[in-house]
Amino acid sequence: MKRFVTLLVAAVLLMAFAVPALAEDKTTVTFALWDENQKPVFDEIIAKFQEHNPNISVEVQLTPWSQYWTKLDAAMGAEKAADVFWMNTYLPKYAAARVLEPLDAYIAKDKLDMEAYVAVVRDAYIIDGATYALPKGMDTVQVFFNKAIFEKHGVELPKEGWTWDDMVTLATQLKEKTTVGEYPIVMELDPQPSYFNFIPQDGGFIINEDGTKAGFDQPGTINSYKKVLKLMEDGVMPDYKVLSDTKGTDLFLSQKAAILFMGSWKAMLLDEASFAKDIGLIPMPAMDASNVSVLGGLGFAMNAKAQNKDAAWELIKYLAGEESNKMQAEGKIDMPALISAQQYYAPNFKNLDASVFFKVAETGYFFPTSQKVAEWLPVVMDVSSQILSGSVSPEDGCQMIQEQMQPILDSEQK
Amino acid sequence: MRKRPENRLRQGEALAGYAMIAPLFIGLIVFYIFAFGQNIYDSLTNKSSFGVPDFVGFANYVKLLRAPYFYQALQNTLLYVAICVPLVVVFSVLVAVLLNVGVRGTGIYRTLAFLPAVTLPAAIALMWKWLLNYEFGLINAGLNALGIGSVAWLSDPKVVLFAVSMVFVWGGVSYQVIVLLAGLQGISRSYYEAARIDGANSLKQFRYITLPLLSPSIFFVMVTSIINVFQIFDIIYLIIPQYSSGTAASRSLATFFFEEAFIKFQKGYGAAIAVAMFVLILLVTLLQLRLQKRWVHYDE
Repeated sequence: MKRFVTLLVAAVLLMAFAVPALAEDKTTVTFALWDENQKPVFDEIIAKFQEHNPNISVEVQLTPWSQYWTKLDAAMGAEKAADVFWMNTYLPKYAAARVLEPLDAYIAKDKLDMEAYVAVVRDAYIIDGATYALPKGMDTVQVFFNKAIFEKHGVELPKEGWTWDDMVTLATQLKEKTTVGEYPIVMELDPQPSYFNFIPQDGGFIINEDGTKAGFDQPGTINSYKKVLKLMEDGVMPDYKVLSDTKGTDLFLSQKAAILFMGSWKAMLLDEASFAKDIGLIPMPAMDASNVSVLGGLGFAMNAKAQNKDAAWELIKYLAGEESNKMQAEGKIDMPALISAQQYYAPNFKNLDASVFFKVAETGYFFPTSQKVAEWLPVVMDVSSQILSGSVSPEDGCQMIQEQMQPILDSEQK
Repeated sequence: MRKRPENRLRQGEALAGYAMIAPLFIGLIVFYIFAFGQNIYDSLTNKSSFGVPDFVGFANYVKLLRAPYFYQALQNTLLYVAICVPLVVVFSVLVAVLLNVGVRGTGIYRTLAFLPAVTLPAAIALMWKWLLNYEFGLINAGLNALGIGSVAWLSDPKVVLFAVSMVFVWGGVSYQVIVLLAGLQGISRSYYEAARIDGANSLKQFRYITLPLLSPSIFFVMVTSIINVFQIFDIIYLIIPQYSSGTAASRSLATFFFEEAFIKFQKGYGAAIAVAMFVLILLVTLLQLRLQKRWVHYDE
């Protein structure tokens, strides 16, 4: 027992002293991310980076999503946060708290060409004129359809430039011919692949340009919910009970659905389906205003208290650069927002036409956010699920959201 | 004069004793008592993601008392208690008594009954999530075969609370059965023999011997069940699909706390919710300790 304790103490001491001793003549940059599935590729990217920069050593810190933000916040307070970290839609909160390093001076110094990125994604990280992150990649939302089901029933395939009404017509024709348990249209009713697209498509908005007003009092916003509900009422889309228990993608994969509204993040899965050669891709149908769809994506941000900011910048520049994007694309973990690297992503698909993703990205708009998005987004999701399940009307539900969301946005202005 | 070394010995023994409980005790102080005090302090601040929190007095409690979500979560939690606790108590007594009869293969039955207690809650929840699935679930398949039709167990706001309760009772009974079984083994056979000689049938034996003598164990089962149900979280978190329309109708106080503190990052407010839960559970437990005199018989 005694020997064991001594050993343990020795081991702890060793760990405490060994790490700094090893890193003595090198600059160490810490890099935090949350996705275990992407880590192997990032380990390779980091190895390459260290080859190019022998005097910088990078320590990758993996924290699971469920603890990532809590840990980042706590570490920020203790000034022990990673130097470089993944950032998502929470960016405005961190920018406002001045814990992120503005990157503009570094971009200017290295004459980095920011035009090389998809504009919407690049601009999402600019707040009050300062750039707080470089794009990691992006997600798009579009429509997947099963050609075989259309052809079997002799219904015309969706054509580019289609409208919501065109879709309803096609779906109604399909419905007349399908049997029980088959659905013309399916969706996953979380914001990004569904109503966050429909709201602006029908002329409403979630949050206005300068982030001061919630748009749930807009007629377009309310109407977009009504249109989704109408699909369920008409029986061309399964109702909320089915869609809430079983993912739309799973219904589509079991060949029970003809049209699927889905994000690019599930595209790899669809490409591996047994009937993948029958899957067509098309931008969303247009509602009254447009067919713009949501773009999501992550960025690489720098801690304002980073120990060695030049080294941290070198890492960010590399991570958002051509070689890293190529490795991420070929590793099938992210779709590049760096336009020149998109060519490496498309060949991943044996059956799907990946060019639709890039086309959709050109007109996309970034996932709506603000400083307190973590407070209002759960409200929007909570009430939206009540609207879509029919427990409250679209009018009442949107009013409920507006009444809770607007005060949160107001409190950001203080 | 002779006492001295003995005293020293005793002191040494005491020290050794303290040293042995120290690891647990220090853990208790750091992770429970200190954290408890810290939580009360945090509930009086506007602690959020980072920065030094400001002291805001009782603002979080005022906000809590004005929040419709709080009352809904409170109502749901009380419903969980009202549904789950009686079912857990009745079923665990029933199962324990049946397992105590001593039929052939008792060991197998006891093992089966105890299985849910040693199964990961996540595994239990995932299994039930599939059983309760609207489209592909076994339960709905059974109901359809009986001609009753499918029930949206996890999405229908009217049903979802019962679905969660059902899973909780299923998983919650088995541990309590062990407690009750131990209690049953402690009841002397001679009482039953005497009763049989006096002509009491099994039902009467159960009513007048088993129940009173088992009451301390039943009391323990009740108190722990009530505390467990008041803190119900993992089952809800795991079986209710994200974005389900049943989210609001199944939200318990613990879920509400989790959402405010760890999704919306309002940690001060979350701390206030935790304090409210503590007070509530404390009051209910005190009430039970008070009431136990009326029905719990301790074997003197």
